[in-house]
Amino acid sequence: MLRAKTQLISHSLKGKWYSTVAKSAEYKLTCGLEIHTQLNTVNKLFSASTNNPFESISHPNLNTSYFDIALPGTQPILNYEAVLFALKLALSMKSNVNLNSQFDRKHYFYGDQPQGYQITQHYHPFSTGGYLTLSKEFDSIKDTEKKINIIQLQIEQDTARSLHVHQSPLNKTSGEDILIDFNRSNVPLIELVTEPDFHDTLQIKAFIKKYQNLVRQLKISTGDLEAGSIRIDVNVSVNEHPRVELKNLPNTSSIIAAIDYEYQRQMQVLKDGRIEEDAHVETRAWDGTKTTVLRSKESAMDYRYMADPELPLITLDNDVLEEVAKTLSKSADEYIKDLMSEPYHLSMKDAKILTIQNEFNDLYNNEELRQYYVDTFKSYTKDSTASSKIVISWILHELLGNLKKLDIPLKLLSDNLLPPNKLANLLTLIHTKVISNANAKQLLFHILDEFKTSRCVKLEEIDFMTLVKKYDLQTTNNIDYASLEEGCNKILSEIKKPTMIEDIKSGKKKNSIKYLVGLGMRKYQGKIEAQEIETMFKKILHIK
Amino acid sequence: MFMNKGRFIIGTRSCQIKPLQCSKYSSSKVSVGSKFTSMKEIKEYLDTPSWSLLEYLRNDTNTEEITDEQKLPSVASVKKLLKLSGFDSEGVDIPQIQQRLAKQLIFLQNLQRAPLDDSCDNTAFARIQPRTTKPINYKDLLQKIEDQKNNKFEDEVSGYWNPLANNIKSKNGYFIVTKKTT
Repeated sequence: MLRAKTQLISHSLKGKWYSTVAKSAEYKLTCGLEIHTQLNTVNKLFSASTNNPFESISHPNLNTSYFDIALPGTQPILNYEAVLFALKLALSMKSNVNLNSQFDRKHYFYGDQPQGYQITQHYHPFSTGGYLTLSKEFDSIKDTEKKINIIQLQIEQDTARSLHVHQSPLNKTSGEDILIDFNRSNVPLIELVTEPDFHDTLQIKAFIKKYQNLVRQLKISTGDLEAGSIRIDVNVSVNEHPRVELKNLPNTSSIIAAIDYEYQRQMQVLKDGRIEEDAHVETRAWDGTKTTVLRSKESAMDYRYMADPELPLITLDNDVLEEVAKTLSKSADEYIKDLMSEPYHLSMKDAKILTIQNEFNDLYNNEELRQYYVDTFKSYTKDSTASSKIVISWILHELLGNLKKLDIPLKLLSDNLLPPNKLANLLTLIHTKVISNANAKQLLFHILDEFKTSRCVKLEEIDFMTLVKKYDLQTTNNIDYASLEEGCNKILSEIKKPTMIEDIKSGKKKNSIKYLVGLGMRKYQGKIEAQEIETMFKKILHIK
Repeated sequence: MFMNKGRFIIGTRSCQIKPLQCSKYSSSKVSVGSKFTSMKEIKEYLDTPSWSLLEYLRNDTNTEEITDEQKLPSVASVKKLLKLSGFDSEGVDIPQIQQRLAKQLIFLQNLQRAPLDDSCDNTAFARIQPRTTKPINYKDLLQKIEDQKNNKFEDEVSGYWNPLANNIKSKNGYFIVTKKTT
């Protein structure tokens, strides 16, 4: 009802989510985030069983050790790879690493945690402080710059996955059966808590995107919200309204929609003067249309935190910080700035494609792609002063398009078939008009297709000039313009829709000339440059 | 749990506790002292018991047999605990178990009455003796990671054992927990 009444919530526009709720200056929105990130370590946090929570769909409870399901007598052994990953994240966010952090037990009783407690870091978390800076330039927020401060990072274990099944025939009582899968149990998590520094949903959206890209760049998590690799709770408060913790937010659109709903709800509470009856911190769940009370917030005492007696402190030498810091690369913003500057001069859009990993896929990551581009660029511009725009255009549009189509990983391609210098050779042949753009595209697809058919094994070194000759793909150097004019006239005479010609001539459908050029390219098998054919059609049709 | 002159230890660790004056409770004098300084000191301490367990198993009236029905766990509770522990409840001496559990409860209640100041200043050092963990340097860290990756116990190998084998109820490879909705 509230949703309909206030006409709120977000809409999807070309796949992007934006908030339609106008925030009133009188009612200030304040939000903080709690982000749980699954680390993609080889093994789990306190056992050496395989860390693959996504296997659970087909094989529940496959990756479970005695410890993961809390058989009596088992003890935790810390996986130090999780410590290394936490160090990378903490240092990237300028967070102060605690050289003596400790694990604590957080007690609660639920089927997803058979130990009766979760091992987390309560008293002495892994790191404190730090920040992530958002900007108008790179993150499309309203402010020129916005610093989001971090309260702390802590390492903890994930719980098992629960599936709720109502009124199962297996259960003769009126109870509810909960199916439990321990593949996720004991998977390492980092919980990141921000200060309540967010004041609009654009900042939240930008932070999530930036954080996802950071964990992907650091290769410490797949960073997927939908799959549950990152799970986000949001603390929302409007003016003096007590904080409300929002849960069950599976994706960015849910997060924005839930905040919008909660903003309207709390604003209404304040307007109606109902703050007294509503004045308690609570946890609410998002059900897709509204938020509903889950529970009143547990006090810290309820969890009976105690230091875990079975785990030693994580005591780190100072050199660990220095050495891990050396392994970190530049920030995404710095990479984007570099690519937009001398000598590359890329557009921000292209620079972002080479830098930000929007989705984790098996074919390439942004780091490999960026390196492939930089190496191809260097090779191409070594002996040429020609415009280098062809490099980014071919890599992003032709090469990536074909790799996705044929399902070929970029690294395999670069190692076994087409290293950057070879692609640069092909681009040089295009630039020097040895081969037309159209024929080069066909040639590239052909060699990639053959590579795929041969199961991507290393083939003999490619020589594009030899291939051009082999398949007779050279452009015609000495064009017989009279013959070309005759050929183009023949094409025009065969057009069955004379109105189309008129529309091209009158400028009504200017771009239809590309259709004619396409017919010409087919007729001359790509051996005459498209530009030459277009010029000839314009001459015949008296188009300036 | 161990008790001795001036110290109070739970399991293998204790809170960082301020030294207390001796204080009376039950029939014993219990106080909490300073931390141990070495493992030798701990061993010597544990090797010289100066108290009797029986002292702490006594109830207020000091009688061996607990006759007050109120202080005995119910038969239903005993059966539930047996079931939870995986024991058969048929043919067992329930009254005897009731007596034993009642005494254990008295013991625990006595422990809980101990004059402990558990306002730990620093939980990282909540141990019976100060501890210093050797810091891990970067080389150690990488070596530990490498060693751990390929050092699995049998149960940690995926598919080595069937965690559901001893379960009465399971479904499609999942454990089942039933939540009573009364």
